Amino acid sequence: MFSERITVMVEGALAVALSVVFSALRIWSMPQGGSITLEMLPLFLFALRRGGRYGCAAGAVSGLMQLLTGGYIVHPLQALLDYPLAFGALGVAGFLRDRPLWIGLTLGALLRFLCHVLSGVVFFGSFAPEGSNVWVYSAVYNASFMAPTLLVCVLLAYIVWPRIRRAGNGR
Amino acid sequence: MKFLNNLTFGQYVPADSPVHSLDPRCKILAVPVVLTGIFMAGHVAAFAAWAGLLAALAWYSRLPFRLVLNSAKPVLILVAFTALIHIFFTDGTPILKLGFVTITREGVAAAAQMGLRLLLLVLFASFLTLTTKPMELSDGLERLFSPLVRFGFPAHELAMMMTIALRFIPTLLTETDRIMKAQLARGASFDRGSLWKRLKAFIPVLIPLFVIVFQRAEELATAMEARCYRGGEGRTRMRPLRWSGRDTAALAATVAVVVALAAGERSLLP
Repeated sequence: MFSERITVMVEGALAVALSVVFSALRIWSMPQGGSITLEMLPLFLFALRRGGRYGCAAGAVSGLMQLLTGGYIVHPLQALLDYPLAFGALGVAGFLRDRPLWIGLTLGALLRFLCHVLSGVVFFGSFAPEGSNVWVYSAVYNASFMAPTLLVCVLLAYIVWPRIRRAGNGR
Repeated sequence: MKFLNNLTFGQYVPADSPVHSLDPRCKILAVPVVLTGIFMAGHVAAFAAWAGLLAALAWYSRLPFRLVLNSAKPVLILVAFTALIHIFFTDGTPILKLGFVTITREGVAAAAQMGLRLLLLVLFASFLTLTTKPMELSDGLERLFSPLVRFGFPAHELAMMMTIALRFIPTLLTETDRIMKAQLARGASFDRGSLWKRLKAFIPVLIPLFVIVFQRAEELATAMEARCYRGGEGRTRMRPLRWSGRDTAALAATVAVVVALAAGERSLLP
């Protein structure tokens, strides 16, 4: 039904907006400079509510928004991997909404992590000396903030999701 | 106390300049062209030429040069890191020996080259967001991707989502601030205690926020339908994007500069 599609689209857009707002909320600043934010949570919950296809679309929009409002570009492939693809991957959580929550969320975050690692390899491939161990650099750096962020998201999702799944006209 | 006042959203700097008034599609297409040009530069003279062009572009866009340089702040660590690994891990003629570390002439040259290239890439790309409103960019992307609609790519829907999100970020920001203050008044503490304590404090903020978002979405969808929103097909705009001769000229000039610099570097410099 068409009106259902508008609702889903608007909901996705608002989830993206909320994710931007959350990216400014520092829950915890980590010693090495990164910080834990909840920006993935709205995108995960939207994907769980409306399914993977819409979830991926909202994620990709969120990535594009970050790119267009001040992301950095050093390589066309890096721009694609670090923003629309990385955030779009989070929506994959929606394909597994019949499984326990943590499985979908972990898979989504894992795919985002892989996008960032690949982008790091592309980046170092053009900027680091030959022979440096680019995969290790990239994986360690990205894991250092993705792992705690995912843990926090899963924890909060278990608490928040049962309480909001019936809000609005969702299922 | 405001928790969210440090959110500087977007980079756009309004100004009345010829660069600002270009069609967003022209600027989006120019970015990969310029990035390719910078990737091809290798000689000091070529980097100097690009740096000169950067200053000229800033002047032509009526943007303070300091402000343009500021947009590279988030990548400075990356630039320093890239330069350092080049300095320490490049073989060649040694110029300095400190214990087990040898710094070579080639290493310093490679570090300068990579550092400069990285800085120039980020700075040139930032002109897109400095001189174009996010809404214009989303319009531009929608139009650029519209040929793909035929193959089922939801160009209009994605652009519409971006527009709605941009419109609602300030609203949700106020809403979040309001709920956090309400919880503070009831004794919540968001910036003290262990991680687990802080997370627990956020739960009474998150739940009402999500409920508000889902309700808002339904209201907005109803409002859009009541105003006969029927998706992208046949939709007209109050201010349609117009590609003018100036845009063609600007894009052609960009391509010409990139080709001239690359050809010049290859034929004139050793």
